[in-house]
Amino acid sequence: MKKLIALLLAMVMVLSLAACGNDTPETTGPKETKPAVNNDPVETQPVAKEPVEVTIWHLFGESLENGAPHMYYVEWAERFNASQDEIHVTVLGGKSATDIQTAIAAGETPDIFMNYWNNAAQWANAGALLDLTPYYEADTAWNYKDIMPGALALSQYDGKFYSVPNSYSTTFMFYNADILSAAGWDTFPTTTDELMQCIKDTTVANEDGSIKTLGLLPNMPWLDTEMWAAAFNANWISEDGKTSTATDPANKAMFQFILDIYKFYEEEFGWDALAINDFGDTVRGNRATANDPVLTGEVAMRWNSENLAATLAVHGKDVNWKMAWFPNVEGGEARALLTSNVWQINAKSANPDAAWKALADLTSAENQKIMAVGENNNGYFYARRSVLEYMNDTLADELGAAKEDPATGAKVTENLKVITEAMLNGNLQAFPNFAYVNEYLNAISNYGGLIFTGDMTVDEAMQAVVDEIQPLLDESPYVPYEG
Amino acid sequence: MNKNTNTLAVAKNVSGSIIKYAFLIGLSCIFIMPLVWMVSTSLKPNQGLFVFPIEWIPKEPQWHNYSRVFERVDFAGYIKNTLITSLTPVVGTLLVTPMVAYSISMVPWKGAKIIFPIILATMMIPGQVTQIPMYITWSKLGFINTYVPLILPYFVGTPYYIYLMRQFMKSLPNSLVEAARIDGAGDVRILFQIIYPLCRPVLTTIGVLVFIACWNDLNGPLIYLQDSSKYTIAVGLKSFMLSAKTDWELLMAANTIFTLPLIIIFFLAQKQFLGGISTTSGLK
Amino acid sequence: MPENTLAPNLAHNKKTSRQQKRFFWIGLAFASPWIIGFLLFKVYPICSAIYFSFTKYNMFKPPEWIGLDNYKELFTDPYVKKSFANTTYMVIVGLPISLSFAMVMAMIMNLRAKGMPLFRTILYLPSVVPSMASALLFLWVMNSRYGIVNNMISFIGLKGPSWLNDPDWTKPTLIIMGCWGCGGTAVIFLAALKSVPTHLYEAARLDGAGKWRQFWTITIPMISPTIQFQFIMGINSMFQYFTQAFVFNMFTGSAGQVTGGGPANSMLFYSINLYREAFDYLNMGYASALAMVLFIIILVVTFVAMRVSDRMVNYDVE
Repeated sequence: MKKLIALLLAMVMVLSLAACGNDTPETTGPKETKPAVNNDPVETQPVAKEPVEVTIWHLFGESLENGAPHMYYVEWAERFNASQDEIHVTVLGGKSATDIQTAIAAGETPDIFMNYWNNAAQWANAGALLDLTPYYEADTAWNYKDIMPGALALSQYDGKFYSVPNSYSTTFMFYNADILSAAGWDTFPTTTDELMQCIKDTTVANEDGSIKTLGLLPNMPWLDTEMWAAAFNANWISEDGKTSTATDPANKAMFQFILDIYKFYEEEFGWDALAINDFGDTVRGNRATANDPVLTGEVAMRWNSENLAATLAVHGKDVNWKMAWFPNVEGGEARALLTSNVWQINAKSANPDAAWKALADLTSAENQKIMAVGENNNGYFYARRSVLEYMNDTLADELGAAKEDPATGAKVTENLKVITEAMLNGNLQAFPNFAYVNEYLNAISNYGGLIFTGDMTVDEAMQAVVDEIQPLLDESPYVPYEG
Repeated sequence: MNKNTNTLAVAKNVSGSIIKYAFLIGLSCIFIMPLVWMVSTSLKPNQGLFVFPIEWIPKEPQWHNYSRVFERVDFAGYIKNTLITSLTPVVGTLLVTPMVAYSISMVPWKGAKIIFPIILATMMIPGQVTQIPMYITWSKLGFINTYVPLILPYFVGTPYYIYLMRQFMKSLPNSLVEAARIDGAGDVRILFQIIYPLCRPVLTTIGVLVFIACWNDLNGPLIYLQDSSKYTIAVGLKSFMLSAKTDWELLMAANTIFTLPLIIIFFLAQKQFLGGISTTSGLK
Repeated sequence: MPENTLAPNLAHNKKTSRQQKRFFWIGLAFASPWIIGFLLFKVYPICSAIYFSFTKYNMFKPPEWIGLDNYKELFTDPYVKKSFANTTYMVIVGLPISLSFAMVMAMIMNLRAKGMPLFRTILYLPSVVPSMASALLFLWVMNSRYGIVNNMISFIGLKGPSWLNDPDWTKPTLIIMGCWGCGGTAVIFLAALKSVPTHLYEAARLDGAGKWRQFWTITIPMISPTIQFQFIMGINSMFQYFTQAFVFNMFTGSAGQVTGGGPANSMLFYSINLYREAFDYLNMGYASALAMVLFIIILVVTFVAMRVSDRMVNYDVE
């Protein structure tokens, strides 16, 4: 048996040398052909007899039900294909980031794909993406200056544009106004001290001591800590882009605030972090359904991205729910986290100019306005200023007026205006877009979680984050966006 | 224990079988409960995952949840595609696996001892790493967006089933093959006329396992199939999950539709799959 | 491995060598599909992985040779340490539990009872449920507040653990989930049980052996090749434990989220960490090194396990 294993290993080794020596660099290296970018790339597309094929992959399911993103994209593709005969686009959905990675690592398909914001800088750094800066600058009709600066910051890496912003998303506090007013809060708190008090006032136990209403569920999965950080004016990277600022007072104050909420639950009611997390599962499983905890009164308030408003408009007709901006931190201005999923072009795309032409049409103000229409607008907001303004000025009223029930219609209009107003004028902050965003986000959620379970102090956890991330920042610092 | 009188034995038998059935029914209840909940949720209006107390039988079953799923996804097309990607591998496996297993367990040649450990070893490399090179290989061969990468590997023998087959063949009496060889039978005849029938239980088992594995396979179809017209049910279901997000009732309806054919197949095939084993194995 | 006893004991050397030649060609011919498949679809990916493990490679740019750096880093990486510990737990604790459970299930399926086909179907059912669906079901079943399991536990006056949030309980939850879905393994055991000749039991009964002794002296030895098979496969799959933990992540997290490791990284398994390095962090080179180390570990453990179990396995039925 020993001999066999040795033989096997030897064989594998020999084969590996044989195979790798010849094949690997050739097959895995990117193509040498650089995209031809002229001064006016859009106009230089040669007119071919056969239309150029451009494939577009996105991350949403391939549902053609009215209002699903896929439906919007497919309808757009039909319009675009009919409008000209140079380019033929095909839209495919239901792809994951891993599917896209695998496909583009092997070749030129797809030409255009959607991606999560947190992959944008990393993929650009890895060489997977086409540098779109020349197109940004040349295509004046497309007009990148119309795109919200925060979203542009997420599209840029190392001073160049690698992505085109698609959605525009931030977070609000959704609250059950009846619960708040029963606890003596007729308006939503405006300072963090008030917020803490409000959380304390609205938390109620059942007779058996279990949770009846939780003032606020402090942690939601994924970007919760980043939401808190934005609200607390905490930054993760210094202004020069070279130093991790996880140990800054603002970051620690933010974690301390969350920790204080946990401590209150534990000391006042005996609910430890585990009990709160168990309760949190319910929130996760029931979110955005008819049993959303804001509607059932299991929580008095909770964070969510703005698209919850569309769901609550459908299921929460009988509940007095409202949405608010996060209270002001003392001495600062309230901020909120900005996220935006993005479109990117494959660096190996055979037809980069055609791909850009299709992408520019897909993300034009005209087409984004069409995609913003829908039942309660379906919770989709786009990163162009002109589109947000159109929603605020016109669409919000139209969608409200289309409702059979005037009261529901008025609420839809009001919420859409609140959201678009906040997006246009609010202070939105994106996570710094550097090559190791994913490592950073993971470190924050990893060590942040250990604070709340009592395994680490705030100081220890933040130090651990810095220890893990600083070497990565040294290797590849963040280049801040200058609009 | 052995000194029981007849009446005692009968009483013991009766109480024994009551215990047996109570146990079986109890265990079955535990095993089937999540699935019952799955079906029950699929018939409810939009609601969260966690609702208490559980309503096992919905007051007003929402059958239209199912029609909504059918409206949203082309299940008929998916089922057709999935049958292609599940049945062809079954044929391939049942043909090739016994050959390879025969070679490494019943033919006395040196290669057997080299091949077998390699077969084992190839199973041990985590798929996440070979995924990209595999994809590149298929891409170079021009088979992306076809069923070939999903089907062809089953026609060259899958390690797991080769191992299963080899293990079974090793337990067959050696004298069988020796006698046949002395009688001058060729190896093709020995394999397909003597060994193959004896392997019927393990072949049925492998067939069903391959079918289920292919039916449920998500990773392969997900990366190799690009057009939705070529999707299998598993990919369609995943795509559906992405768009249904928190519509648990629709997700559960889709899950039920997805799982039901497998349940029916198992129920129908189990006589072949399990029951017939002792009589056909020839191992008595 | 036991020596192959099929070699004909013929005296003539000449004839033997001719026989050997014949067997060589026959063996080669029968194994040829696999050999072709191996050369076509295994050699290149495996060699690529070996080569990548010595490089800095992100899938998009050409790999850059860095020698043993990946391997050196691996031994100081705290996530590797944590994930290896979690994975070892699954192999040492999870595997014996799920194999024993599958064995018990197979024996239950082998009982003589009316309506057995129905019971078998029910017991087997969970294993055909797609992993995405079963993870979703378990989020509900094991939910500490509303889950049916904790409700049953509270019925007898105890308080159930928080299965999915308590780092001490997450892996046991996965093991329970594995037991629920081990119908596939149980069916293979069942097939083996069915093939045990009944006359052996009859003889044992005449000798006065009880059920317990029959189980240990007849059943276990007779189905030992199957047990060995399942054990070896189990080692392999437990070391590569991935899907269920990954799917849990998918449901408890949100779109675009970095692959997580559950509460306090208690579900950060080796393959999960490997996946995260490869696809979330684009460290394909490092991930390949992780894969190679895992490969060697599995190889060694499997080798030892086979060596040890071969002595206990009874291949010859008659």
